[in-house]
Amino acid sequence: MSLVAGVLAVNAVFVAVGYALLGRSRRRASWAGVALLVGAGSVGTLVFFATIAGLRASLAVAALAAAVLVVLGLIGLRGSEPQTPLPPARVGPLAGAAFGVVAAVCAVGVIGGFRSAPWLDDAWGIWLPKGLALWHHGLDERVFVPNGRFVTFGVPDYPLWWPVVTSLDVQAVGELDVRVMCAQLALLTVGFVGAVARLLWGYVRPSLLAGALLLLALAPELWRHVQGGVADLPLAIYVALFALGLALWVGTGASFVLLVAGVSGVAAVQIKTEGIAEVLIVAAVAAIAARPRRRLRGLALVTGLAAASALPWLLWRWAHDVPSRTPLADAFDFDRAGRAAQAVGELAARLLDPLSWLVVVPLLVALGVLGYRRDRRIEWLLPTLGITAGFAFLVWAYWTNPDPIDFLLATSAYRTVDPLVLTAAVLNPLLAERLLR
Amino acid sequence: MSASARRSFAAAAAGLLVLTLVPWGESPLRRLAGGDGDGRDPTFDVRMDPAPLRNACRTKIATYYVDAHTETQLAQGNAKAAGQLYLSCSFPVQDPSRAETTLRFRAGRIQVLHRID
Repeated sequence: MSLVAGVLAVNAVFVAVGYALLGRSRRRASWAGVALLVGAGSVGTLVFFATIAGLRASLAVAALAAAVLVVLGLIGLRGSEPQTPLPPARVGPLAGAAFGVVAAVCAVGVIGGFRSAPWLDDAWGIWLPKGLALWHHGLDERVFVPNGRFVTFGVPDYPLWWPVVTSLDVQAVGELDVRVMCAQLALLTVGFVGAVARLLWGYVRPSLLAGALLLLALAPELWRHVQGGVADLPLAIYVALFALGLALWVGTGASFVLLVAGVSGVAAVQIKTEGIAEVLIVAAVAAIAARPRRRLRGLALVTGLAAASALPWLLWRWAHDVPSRTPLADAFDFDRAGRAAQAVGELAARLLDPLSWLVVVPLLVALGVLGYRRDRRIEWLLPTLGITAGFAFLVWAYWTNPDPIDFLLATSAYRTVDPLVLTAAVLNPLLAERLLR
Repeated sequence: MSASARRSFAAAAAGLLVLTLVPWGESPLRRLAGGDGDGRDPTFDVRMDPAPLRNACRTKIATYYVDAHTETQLAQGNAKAAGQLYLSCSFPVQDPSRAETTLRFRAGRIQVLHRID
């Protein structure tokens, strides 16, 4: 198969699995973005777990995982309540034009993804080779566990969802082509934009939704990361979708969003080691906001599921003596506190740089402050609290990491902020809508 | 969507797509579309032609060793990564005497050398 046909075929399977899990009432084109992310998240996770169990990350195993998920979806493991009809939203010409620009940017972004080889050397030098090894050998300790005989992969503690998904793309294409990484990221990113639009449709007026999506789609750093093959971007997509799912659950009580949040939380945990911490921070903030309190049960369920999904990889690492690169013993080594100060400066610069992410994060803070000034209710500041907590976690991660701080910040700070930015991006329209009511 | 919203949607989308096709130098839209476009191989940090590695997995190679010790540290890292990318069917070893095949990387050129016992 060609590059385009192979990657599209894999993603068509993801979409089909997602539709099966979302239930019959959501099998419409407008749900394709949600379906893609739910399908990619669940299939990638199951195949990753299959490699931990001793299987290879082959197309056959992926097909089996997809079949299992489709059957589960058809027999009822899905958002079972019918889709609640929402009042029709009136889209004005200006909002229509904004949606048009978003759609065109996404279309060009996908073309750019298929035409780009990842500029990040970690993408082709670590992530994709890991996926190819999972295909050829499975999770073989000769290359996945540091030892004195074989040359092993870097960052051995990272989970393997992104290698698995990109490996499936290469297998479907039929030859090694590193452009699959950017193509896959472009499709996930466009799926994310579509998913946010679909999930917020009816809850946020179209003009605000269009503006928020435009702000995200026009952010230069978003598409630069797509063309970099950066694993932080799928992590950000799933953390943000987890946050949006929980926000909608807390705000509306629609149970099917728990499925979206659950799959997203689980997928985020399988992408990078920081995924679990970021998911728990989002869940903690959502728990503070949960009204009525009985919604805490659903929130605890999906958060527990996401946290528990870390266990297979943690157990495999423990069984094979693969340590974390940031040992907790060094958590508060105050002799190295200067690292934290450097990290604060660099991360803040990345988050607030208008030429990178426009004003996505400052807008979240501004909306929260405006709402708080109007209502004097602390709920307005919870999204900012969540972003601040995520920021503090990143600072801690840089503080405790053993690598030289200048090198570490220069080579990663620009991308480790992705989950904070995308989470802010999905919460902005909700805050803006509430402010205008 | 109302008819006017549909029209403005189509006009805005078409306008931006047309702008993308305008052949002006280095613009954000051109970057978004992937610029000149890349090939299927990685953009290495150092000069490296991976052509000899492309079909290396067609022959059964159990183990290989990357010999790039005369090169810079960056080049050694790229050579290691290229091995793990193109020879994912095989296992890289640290001891050359245990390798069936050696990937020799010198001055941008890769040679695949099979051991003859």
